[in-house]
Amino acid sequence: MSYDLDVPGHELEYWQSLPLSSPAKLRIQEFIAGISDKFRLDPVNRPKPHTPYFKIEYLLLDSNGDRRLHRIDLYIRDDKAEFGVLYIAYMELLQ
Amino acid sequence: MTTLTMPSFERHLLRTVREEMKKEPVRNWPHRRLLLCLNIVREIRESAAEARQALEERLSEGIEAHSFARSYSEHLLAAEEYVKLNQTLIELLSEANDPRAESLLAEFRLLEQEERASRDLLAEALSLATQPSRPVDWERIHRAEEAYTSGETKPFYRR
Repeated sequence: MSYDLDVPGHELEYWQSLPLSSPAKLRIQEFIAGISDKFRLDPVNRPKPHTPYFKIEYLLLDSNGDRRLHRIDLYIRDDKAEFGVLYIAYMELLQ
Repeated sequence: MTTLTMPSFERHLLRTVREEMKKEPVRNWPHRRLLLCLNIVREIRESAAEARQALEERLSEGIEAHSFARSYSEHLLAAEEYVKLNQTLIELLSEANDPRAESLLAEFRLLEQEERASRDLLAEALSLATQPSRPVDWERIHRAEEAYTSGETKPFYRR
């Protein structure tokens, strides 16, 4: 299953300001959109039980950009997953 | 498929070279043995360069951090061991101060550079992958909830 992804307007501005190349950003988006139920529903990836959020920690070498390693953590609401939509609550570039 | 670390067979070859150097100085080696050794080190360096490239490509594709740490942690020890093995060989050749060993020494230095680059990339990636997350910022979650409730959301990606 693949998902459509939505984001709050202010987080979209943050995303656009990140120093990552367009191909790197697309890889991140595609990874989230293609996330498996197994990963999404694994309690290890859910920061707080009984809340509709899971977390992805993603590692990437931006070979089309600054050629550096980056990690981005994303907190994602998934209560509309059955309708094919995930909502990125916020994201944080650690490096 | 290119392996991401030095295969054990090649490590064995280098250990054999090390043992030969300890047994007999390179200046006493037959010319043919020296040539064979040079070729082996060059081949191993090419293999090491391919391994580094494979690691770079894997990281460029992007990978979930925990999955990367699980799959690649064990490779770091092997990479460390390999760099140390190269250093030992370089020390042995440097101490010999032997003009006949110069070409071999130069090859080992190139191999060491290649292996260090791989080891450093792997170490940095693992360090980043295993770095603890910051605590969940519930304030940002709250802001996202408000945007969600009021319909102030934007498309981020469409299938």
